[in-house]
Amino acid sequence: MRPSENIEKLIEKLRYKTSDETHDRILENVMKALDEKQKPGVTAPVLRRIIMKNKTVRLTIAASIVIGAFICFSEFGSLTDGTSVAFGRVIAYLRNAETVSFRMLIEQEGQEPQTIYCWTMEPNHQRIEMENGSVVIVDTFQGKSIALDPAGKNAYLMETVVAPKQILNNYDYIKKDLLENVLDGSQENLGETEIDGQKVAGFRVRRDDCEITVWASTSNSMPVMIQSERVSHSETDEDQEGQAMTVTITDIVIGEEFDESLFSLSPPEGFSTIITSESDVEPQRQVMQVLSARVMRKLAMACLKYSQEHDGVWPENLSQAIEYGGQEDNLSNLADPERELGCVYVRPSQTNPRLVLLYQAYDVWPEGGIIVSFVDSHTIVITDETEFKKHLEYTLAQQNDH
Amino acid sequence: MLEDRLLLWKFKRGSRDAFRAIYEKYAGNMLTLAGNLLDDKVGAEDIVQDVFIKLVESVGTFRLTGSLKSYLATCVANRSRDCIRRRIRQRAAMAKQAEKTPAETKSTVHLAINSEQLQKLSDAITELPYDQREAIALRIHGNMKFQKIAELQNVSTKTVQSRYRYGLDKLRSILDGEVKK
Repeated sequence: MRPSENIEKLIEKLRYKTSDETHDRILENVMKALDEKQKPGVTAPVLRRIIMKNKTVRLTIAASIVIGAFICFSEFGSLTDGTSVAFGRVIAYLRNAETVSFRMLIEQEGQEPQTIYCWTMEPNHQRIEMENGSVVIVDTFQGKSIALDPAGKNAYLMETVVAPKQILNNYDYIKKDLLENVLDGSQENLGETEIDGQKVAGFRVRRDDCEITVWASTSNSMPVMIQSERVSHSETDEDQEGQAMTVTITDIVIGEEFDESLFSLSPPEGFSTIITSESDVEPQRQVMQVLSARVMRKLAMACLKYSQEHDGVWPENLSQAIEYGGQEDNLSNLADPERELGCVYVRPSQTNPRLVLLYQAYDVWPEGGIIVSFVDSHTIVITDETEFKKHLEYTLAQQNDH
Repeated sequence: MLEDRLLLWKFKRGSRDAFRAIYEKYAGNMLTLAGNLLDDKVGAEDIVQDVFIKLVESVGTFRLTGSLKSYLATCVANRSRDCIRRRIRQRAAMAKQAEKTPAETKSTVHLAINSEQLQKLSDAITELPYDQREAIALRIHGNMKFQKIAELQNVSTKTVQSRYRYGLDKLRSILDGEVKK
């Protein structure tokens, strides 16, 4: 064997080293930089604002949902042609991608721009880090959160700061407005450009008070930048009512495996624990409703997949659909666990996205409304019984006509 | 991976020990990478120091999306390129002085194994076009995937694989005496 044949192993041996003194000198220089960096900051007021108003946390969650919805768009295969929708792929992708991390720049009139970093793990974990090192971790299922102030070494424990209903409403918004806008081709195509040396294609979706621009890589269709501009209609911050706000999301990573320690609600060693009552405590029922909606969406996807693989024929019952996604447990309802079958299946005779496919079973109309899935698997909460009945009547009328 | 995240987490909360642990874990690797990317060894030491200072300065905004080693290797590669560009400009301006590269003789950085064959290999590496040398160093000493190197070099993965293969072929040829310098 010639000496060069295992060239990679030889190169691996080309290791450089230096003296311990040199390493000590480098470390000393680096530590000086660290001392400069660790001068007292303004952590406490920022953290207090987070805790009191929770706006950043809400925004972050809304943003992660926007990104989640964008996953659908990116899977269409053709960003510049909203009509070429491979719906089965969209559904499969939505089901599989359960984590996202990103950087978010929030710019609002009269306020300092704020950059935050977020890790989201569906369905209920969020970690948000501020530039100054403050951290907020939210677990919507447990209804708890923790805010860490590294400068003061304080850990603020509280009941959930994020209303589950708000999360659900955001899902509704995505499903009802964004998705349908894309599906009917009403988005504005922005053509191609470059961001940070990467070729991207863009489109813009408009709503009454909000405009969302999405730039995605032309090579792999993944989102590179998402920008949302809207006028604030804050229920909690009256002083910010009517102000323009821009949120720019970059550094988006979808489907990365996260360490669970990122979402730990235990105060770190050396931190003082402070229990705070400044919170928007939401009933457990709403948390359950969020999770039930997710389960029902899963079932609807399973039905849709079944029909796609059986020439448009829908399953006779939900048990048939289970093997195409979901589990037997999904047939009950977390929001109403006493009931054996948690939802009612309306077997479609045609593929019309306006038809009701599944709805949460009930005897008396529940206070918070019911969860309804449509034939295209989009799942929403309908709070008004009359509105639901209109949907159901339309569905039954269409079935009879067919 | 988990260990790195926890170290970073502690470091962000002001733990100097955590930073020291990160430094001790990766400084040697980064020195080797920088040494293989650059012609002079003093430059390698400076680059490693700069990369760790940058990590300290950006700790508030830093977020790890891949491995810490890969992140540090990318920083070393970027700085090495800047260093080489600077050096080319300086050489153009002061051709004669730059030829001597006096700093190299003062360096405390040196090859850990000093065999004749490795010295020959080290010399041969400096003969490679920079993109090939970078692909080889990042792959072997930075443990980076071709795809990551492609992102760094702003070319396709196939191009990086070709650069890597051509670079290795050329080194083999030099070591086997098929290429006469």
